[in-house]
Amino acid sequence: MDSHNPSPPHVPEVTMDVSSTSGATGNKFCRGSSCDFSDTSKDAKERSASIRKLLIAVILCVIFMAVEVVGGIKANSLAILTDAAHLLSDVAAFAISLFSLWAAGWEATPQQSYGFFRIEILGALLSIQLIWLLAGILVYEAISRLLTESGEVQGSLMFAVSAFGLFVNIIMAVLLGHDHGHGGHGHSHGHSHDHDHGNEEDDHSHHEDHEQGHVHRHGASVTITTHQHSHSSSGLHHDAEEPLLKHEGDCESSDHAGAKAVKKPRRNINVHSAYLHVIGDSIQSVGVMIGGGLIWYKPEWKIIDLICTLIFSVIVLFTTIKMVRNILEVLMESTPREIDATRLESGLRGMEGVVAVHELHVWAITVGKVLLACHVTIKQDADADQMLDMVIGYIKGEYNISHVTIQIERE
Amino acid sequence: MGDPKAWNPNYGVVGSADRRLAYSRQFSLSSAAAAASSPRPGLARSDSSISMPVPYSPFPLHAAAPANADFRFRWLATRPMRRLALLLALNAAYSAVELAVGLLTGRVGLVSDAFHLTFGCGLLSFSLFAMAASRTKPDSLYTYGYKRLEVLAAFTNALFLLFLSFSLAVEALHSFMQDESEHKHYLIVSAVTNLFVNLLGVWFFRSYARVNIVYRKAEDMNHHSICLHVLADSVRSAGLILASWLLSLGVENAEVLCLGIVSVAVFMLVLPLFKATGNILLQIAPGNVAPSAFIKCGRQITAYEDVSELSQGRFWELVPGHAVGCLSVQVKNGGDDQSVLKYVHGLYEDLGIQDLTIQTEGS
Repeated sequence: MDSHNPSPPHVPEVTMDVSSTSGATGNKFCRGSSCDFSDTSKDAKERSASIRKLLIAVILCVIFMAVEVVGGIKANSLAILTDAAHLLSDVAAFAISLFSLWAAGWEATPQQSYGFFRIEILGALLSIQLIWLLAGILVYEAISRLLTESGEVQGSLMFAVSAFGLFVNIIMAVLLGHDHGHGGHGHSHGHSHDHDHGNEEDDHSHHEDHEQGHVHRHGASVTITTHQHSHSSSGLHHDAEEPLLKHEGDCESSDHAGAKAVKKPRRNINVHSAYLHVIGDSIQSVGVMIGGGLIWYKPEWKIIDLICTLIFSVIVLFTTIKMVRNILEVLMESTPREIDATRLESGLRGMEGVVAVHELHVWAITVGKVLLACHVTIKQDADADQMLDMVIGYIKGEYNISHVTIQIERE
Repeated sequence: MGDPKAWNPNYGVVGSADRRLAYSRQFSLSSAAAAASSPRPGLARSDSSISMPVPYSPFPLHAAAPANADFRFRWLATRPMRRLALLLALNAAYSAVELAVGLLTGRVGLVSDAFHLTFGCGLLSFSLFAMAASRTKPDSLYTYGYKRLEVLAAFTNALFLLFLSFSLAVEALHSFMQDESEHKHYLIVSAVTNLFVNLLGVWFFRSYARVNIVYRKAEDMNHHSICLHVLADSVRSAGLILASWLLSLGVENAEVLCLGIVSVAVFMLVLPLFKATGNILLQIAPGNVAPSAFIKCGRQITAYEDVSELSQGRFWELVPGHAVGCLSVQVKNGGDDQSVLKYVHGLYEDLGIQDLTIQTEGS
């Protein structure tokens, strides 16, 4: 089976050909390592960068926690020990994220034919549940502070401890959130290296880029690499010139589609959930600081502490809503937000030779990896292979879904 | 085909309520017609107490019209839903009363118990919501329908139970470090009431009161998780009562012991459910089909006349009992792809996998 079939100069064919050399056959025949459900080199790089970040955050957290535990035991203060326990929950959240990141790279097995990418989603769900649990625990603590008669609650200590907690959380938020510049560069450098090697793996990573074209940062790096592509001297160049425009065209369309996403480059979902955890903690620390300050200033106003905690807990819950919605949508196997299923279906139905489209399913394995399966009924006299290529080319070109399974039926 | 004396290979196995048969055979199309017309086997292969009681009538597919995708679901449509709603109402009422009393009398123990009950109520209401919403018809956003909600609800319940076990362990540690004078004896009233309400719940869902269950339908997982939830809660209340009693008898460290045992018990109870629901969410291959069956099918397909190669058979389960698959088949030059399609579909239907998309290429 030749993977570079000399195709007629029919524009969509050529696009498909170059944009995914092993992609065209890779889609028809996902063999082992060249399939995009395996761990591509770009995925692995992104994942190891995230793992490194999280490891640093965990180590920092453990150090701070040890400091707080020692301080709390020496000062014999329950408040400090409680805060140390909150830091422990941070460590737990990071540990969950680390495990999910590591596990998502496992090779697919016959029992888990799509690989283990879903573990990321479940890990993120677990993290979010932890955030909710912690918010509940904090509210409970505020209530118990209210109920225990005063004297035990020292406003000044509360203030100091939560200020320290806030400081720690801000450091970690900066550490975890500070990825846009580096990540972007990392990607484009990674790609130029990959391209110079020019072997099949890298065509896949290039191809990967196209799939995630709806995400903006990758769109940008693709244009860089296509320029590189034209400079280097690997063998695919005779057809590189024409489709270069098409590539830009593709990127343009995905640019437009993802226009809103320009401002927000995509983070790995596990790093994002760890980030949310840290942000939630800082918000809570601010709330506790305000409460502690108030109690310090006027110990009779204890009820304000409770109200403050409640308000800030609600704020924290709101920050998690968007991520929970994304997680639920993936777990429910729903059509990803960026793809309009009705438009896809009408587009397919409008194609030459297609009589009907049914059982169209589009779902995501994890945020960013989308699959499609549908049954297409074609006219009696149409050529099945050509129709298959047309349909697959349309879906890939318009919607950037690379893993497509189409059942062609005749009327 | 309708002859009741005809050989029915699925007699007493398919459709029997015996939950021990994990790899039960599914209907194949040819025998579906026969089985549908033949009477339900009076004496199923095993009529033991572990069969599901028939009154829990399964949903006939042509039942009451499924709700539309708006929020006016029919919340009290089936008997399990009504029972769950009753449980929820009882729990919510009790938790509200406990919270009020705790706040008024300043007893922190009551407040924390009320919080715990509220979390539990929240979860049970999510289960109820899942039961109500899962019958909604599929739409363009949720092309597979809403059945996954039941699995999600079961998973969330399992997570909560894991958290509960962990928090019980922490509580045991806590009471190990404190001395006994701090034991809150007033909590015993609350524990007794809780125990009764939860035992009522266990009775309602008694057919799911096992640790390892074979899941045949989506609602199996949800009901199982609800049962385990109320069971775990009742074990916890029983543990608290036992601890109080032992303490009053003067047994040292009774609380630590009881809480520790309860924590371990809850953990062991919930682990199989957690693994099973987690696997479905991770898109593992269908559990009711042996892996060797897939290999055998693969070999049969490759051996078929017009087929040159089979690649990438991927199967996963939407909910227990509804498997979905995607295959890619390379057809020989000049071969008839429609007959290949029919053949492959037929093979997998015998295994019980109806929802397949097969891409034939290269003729």
